[in-house]
Amino acid sequence: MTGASERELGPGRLVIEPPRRGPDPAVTPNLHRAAGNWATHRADARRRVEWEQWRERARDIRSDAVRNLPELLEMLEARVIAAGGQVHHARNAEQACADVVRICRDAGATRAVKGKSMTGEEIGLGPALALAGIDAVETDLGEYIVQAIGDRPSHIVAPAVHLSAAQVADLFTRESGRRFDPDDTAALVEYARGVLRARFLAADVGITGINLAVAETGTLAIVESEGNIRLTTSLPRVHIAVMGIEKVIRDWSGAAHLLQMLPLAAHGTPAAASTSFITGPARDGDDGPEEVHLVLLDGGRSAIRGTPFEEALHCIRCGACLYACPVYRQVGGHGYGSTYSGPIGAVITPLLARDGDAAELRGSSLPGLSTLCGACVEACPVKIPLDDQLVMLRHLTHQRDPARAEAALFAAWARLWSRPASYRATAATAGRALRPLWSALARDGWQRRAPFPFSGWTEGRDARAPDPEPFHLRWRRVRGGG
Amino acid sequence: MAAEDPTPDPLLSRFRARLEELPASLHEAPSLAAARAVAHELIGGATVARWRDAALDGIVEHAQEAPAAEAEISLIVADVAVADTGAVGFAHRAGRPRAAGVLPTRQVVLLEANDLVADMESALRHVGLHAGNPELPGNVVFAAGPSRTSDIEQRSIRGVHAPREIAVVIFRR
Amino acid sequence: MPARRVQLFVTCLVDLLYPAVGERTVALLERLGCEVGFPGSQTCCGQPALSSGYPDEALKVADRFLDAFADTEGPIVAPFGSCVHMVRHHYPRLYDGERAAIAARLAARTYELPSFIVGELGRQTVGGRYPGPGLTAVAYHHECHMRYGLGVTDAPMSLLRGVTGCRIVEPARGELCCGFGGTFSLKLGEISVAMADEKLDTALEAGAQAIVSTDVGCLMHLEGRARRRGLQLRVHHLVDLLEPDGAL
Repeated sequence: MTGASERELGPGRLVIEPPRRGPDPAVTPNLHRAAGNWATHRADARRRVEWEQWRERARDIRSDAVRNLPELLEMLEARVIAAGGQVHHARNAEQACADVVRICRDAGATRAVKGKSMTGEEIGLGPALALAGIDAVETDLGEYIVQAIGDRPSHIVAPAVHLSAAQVADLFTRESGRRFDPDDTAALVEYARGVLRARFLAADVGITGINLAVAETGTLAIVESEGNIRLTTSLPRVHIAVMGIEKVIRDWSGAAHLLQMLPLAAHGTPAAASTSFITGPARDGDDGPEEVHLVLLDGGRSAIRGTPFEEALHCIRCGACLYACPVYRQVGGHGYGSTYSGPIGAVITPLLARDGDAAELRGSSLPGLSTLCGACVEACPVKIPLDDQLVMLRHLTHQRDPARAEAALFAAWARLWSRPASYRATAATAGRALRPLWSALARDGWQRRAPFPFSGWTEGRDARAPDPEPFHLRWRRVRGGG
Repeated sequence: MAAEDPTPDPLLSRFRARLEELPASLHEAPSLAAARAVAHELIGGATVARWRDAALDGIVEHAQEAPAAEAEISLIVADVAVADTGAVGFAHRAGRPRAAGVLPTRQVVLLEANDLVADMESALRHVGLHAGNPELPGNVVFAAGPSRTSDIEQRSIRGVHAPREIAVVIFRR
Repeated sequence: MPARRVQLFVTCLVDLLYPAVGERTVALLERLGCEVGFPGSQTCCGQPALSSGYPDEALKVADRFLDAFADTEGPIVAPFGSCVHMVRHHYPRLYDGERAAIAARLAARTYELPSFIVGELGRQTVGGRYPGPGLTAVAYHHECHMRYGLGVTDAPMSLLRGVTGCRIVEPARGELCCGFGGTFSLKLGEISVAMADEKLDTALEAGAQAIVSTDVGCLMHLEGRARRRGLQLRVHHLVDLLEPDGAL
């Protein structure tokens, strides 16, 4: 059902395949290292600033933007056009890809360089460009590697986090015919730099996402570490920026704050290595692009406004919740089977997924890929209540795609446990029934096999047997009444 | 300004500390002429791609200049710098070709002390990025330290597509 | 000094699987000068259904909590933070109208045991002894609903520091969830077990001989896995260590 050929056929889906049901041992060492680094940096970040106050302010900025989205998008569009840019409205992924391809064709552009963009992944821009005969290379090092290997990114900020240096060295060796030593990281980077330098200089179109769009002046803000965005948005004569509509914010004051929160949450540093502020095509003798296009993607976002899930649109795509998540750490980004992974991915994927798609493609099982521990909520720089949203989504996905056996079980459970007498009766039954059946197998109150519906427990663990005398009977025995 | 200035400037101290972390080097000069001399020293015999700002005149011979894609060092001017983050900000315009400011692996940046401000919000304003500015600059870059990547097994490598080494020369007019 | 009246919210997992924890909680509260009531009609807080996406079923069971405790007086104390998080965080959101007001009033007087002892009774330590020779190395596992949900980590550590016969070790990445997660432990058992393994392995690497927590879900998950792997690691509820004569 899924696989490379399906993805090549058209725009990417939010959901690519069902999520993993077990850990991915191939990626866990890399993820543990990355998450550990992040945890250290996070502590640094909190020491630098008044973290809790900054989170409140960041949330307010995003909340203002999402609440006033239509007004701010109108303002943004007017200012971008006034600055000489062009704005395209795309209702969905297919339209967005079609817009990008058309802009390239109209400009006679056939060689593209791309900056890292989760929105681009979401709409399947890579395959769409390839299908249209436009040669597009990913220029973020992690994305370049992932593209060259024929893989897909596994983390919002660190796309190649699941790959090893050996795999990268192997890839570059195959590509270049030269031998690369996995431990000589500088040489690996130098090689990629050289390859990409040539592509930058030859490209006629640069395609990026954006981090924020400042409505009051029509300015696009893009952060980066490597310098590939500066080159992608400077050297080609056309720049196309693809943006989820929720990324707009009202003003420069908000931009200044969020552009500090983003690197603090993602890496623990107060500023990105580089931030580009783009207002229209080149002017005043600047030798930048002649054309700047902004493609505004709705893709299901406006439908989330005004629902209990609206806060999910506040996300600034910092990737912190991925690093904080104890489940992401086991299954990796690919383990979610969707473009957006981690806690935020588990929330927005079923929300953005289209009703026409089958249950699996709606990401219905993603909200279950969580223990609801709340680490993501604590990590989130804009305080999205991801755990509460995951709980609400579990309910929502049952309504769309009922799990009949489970629903029946919980209905029975509610019937029995909403009355004290039947609650005690189940306790007594479990305690009594288990004694003769399992006393041979149970030792010190533990057993190696549990009955339905708990049998899944004992595949990896011993199970605690129900006590023959539960607390409520002990109380009655000692105190009477009860 | 000597390194052990008896009345330390808190903005400068913060900027200096942040640059050390990035890392980027900071050189203090008492005048533009002295700053030019410092830049000249830093550049030595390397080939240079320079912006045409007048402040950068008299630092290197014309013969030392090379195209952006070939030069070893880029020589630019900052319009603003941010003490909190160590970033230098500049607007691209005539005489400031973009490639010349990013392709060479090493960079020398001249910064006037009056253009050093405390935080990002002030810096954006200082460089003209605010509503109601009829001359809002169309392209501004804030660069905090060297370009870097940790995309290969989290190993941090400096110098990818933007400079690997940055030297900031701060002076008072 | 008149005894302080408190109501025990024993929680279904303690009631059915760890009744001794309930008994020790009562004994401890009485030792600290409380008069403990046990509203006999209580069943469960309803969390398993809510977490699995069945809020209507959760409400049916939560109604029993409201009925059992609404006409009682005094703080409601539970030896299990996750259920307290359900009452404090979710009940006010689950209910509308008049029931919401009742739920909010109950939420405001519901505490997990460590916060009640340290915050309400003002006792930083209550003694206790880990039996056996020497100092047993103990790792404290904060239940996620207490650490992240309720923002409580100091109170249990304070009580643990008052226990003689043990020393506290800090495993690496101790803030990570153990992988129990309620029905997650059944539905995604392989991932759940892998998370338990990381928790157990880091505890062993830190030299722990025992793991202590207030979450009996975490406890039965970690102990169940430790037993299956044959690990030399004991697992206790915090209240087990707070017995004055070290009876584990």
